Amino acid sequence: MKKLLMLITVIFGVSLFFSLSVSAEESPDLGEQLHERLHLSSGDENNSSVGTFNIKPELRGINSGGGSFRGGGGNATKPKPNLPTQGTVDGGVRGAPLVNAGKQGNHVQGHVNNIPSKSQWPVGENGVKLTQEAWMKGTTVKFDGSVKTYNFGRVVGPRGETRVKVHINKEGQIHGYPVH
Amino acid sequence: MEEQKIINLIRKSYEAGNLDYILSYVDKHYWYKVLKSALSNVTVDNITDFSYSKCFSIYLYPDNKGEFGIGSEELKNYINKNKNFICINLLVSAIAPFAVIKYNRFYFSDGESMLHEQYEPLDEETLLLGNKVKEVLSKHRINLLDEDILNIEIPNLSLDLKEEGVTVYHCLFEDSY
Repeated sequence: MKKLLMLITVIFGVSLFFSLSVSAEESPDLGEQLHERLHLSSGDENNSSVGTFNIKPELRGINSGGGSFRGGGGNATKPKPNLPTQGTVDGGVRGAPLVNAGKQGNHVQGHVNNIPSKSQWPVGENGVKLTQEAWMKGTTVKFDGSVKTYNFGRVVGPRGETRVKVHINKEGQIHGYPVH
Repeated sequence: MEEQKIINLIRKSYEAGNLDYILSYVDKHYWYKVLKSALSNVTVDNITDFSYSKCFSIYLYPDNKGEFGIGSEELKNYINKNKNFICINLLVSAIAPFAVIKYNRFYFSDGESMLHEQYEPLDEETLLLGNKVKEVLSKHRINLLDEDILNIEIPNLSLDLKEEGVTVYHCLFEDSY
């Protein structure tokens, strides 16, 4: 009986791990899966944007709009980030542009789009809220207004970074990452 | 790591010239240290980051203005008090011996942070500081590129952020939308 329980636990753990580890290429609807698992709402009533993911109020205000995704039986040492693979995310900063989840993922540890050679947010954080805050409060550092930098005056990155650099694309979506 | 992933990595490094990994080993403070030791009475603010840039990015201004960093609340206060903030933005490419000096004026318009930049000095102060920086670059055999060269388009090349209309500036210095 004990062996059977252990077997079930292992099978459940392994299947959950693989279902969470599937890449965006392998599963185009991963955003939807994460949407379900993270209990994200698909846009609020005042927002008609297609493909917009808004973090529910109860998830807002968590450290840098982040929080980690820790599935039971999953990989405990690598928390899954609270960030879809595509679409946009709102960290709840009033008046701020939405964050492009795909691009933000380049800087989020554990995200399928993560590029480790680029500047990273701390483990378990997606930096969405800080990115929006930095955009609203930051200094424009490119003449066309498409890049801003804001110094939070405290450490926000895993390597002691205190500033956040934010880019805005032609669609008006932003993404950001810690810089020194 | 999967075999295909390793092959893709090699292709990106050799065929596509992906420099991200190599740049992660570059000392981001190299030019900060050079300038700090070469220039006196100058504030040197290093905001080098190789996530999308292929260059060191450093702001320079006379230290009698203060020692606040770009993007800080102190800078905002300075601009509110003095209407604008003038400085030099030096970009030194980390992949080729080239540099750009941009003369910046930060200001607010209707509460919005704005930036005017040009490739010629904005005043006597930035002219003098710019000349000192040029001397340092010359000693290190770094060539300054002018605006005409920076705007030359590189055909059939797409970067992380700039996908179309990629120029010399985007390739050697900063990639942005």
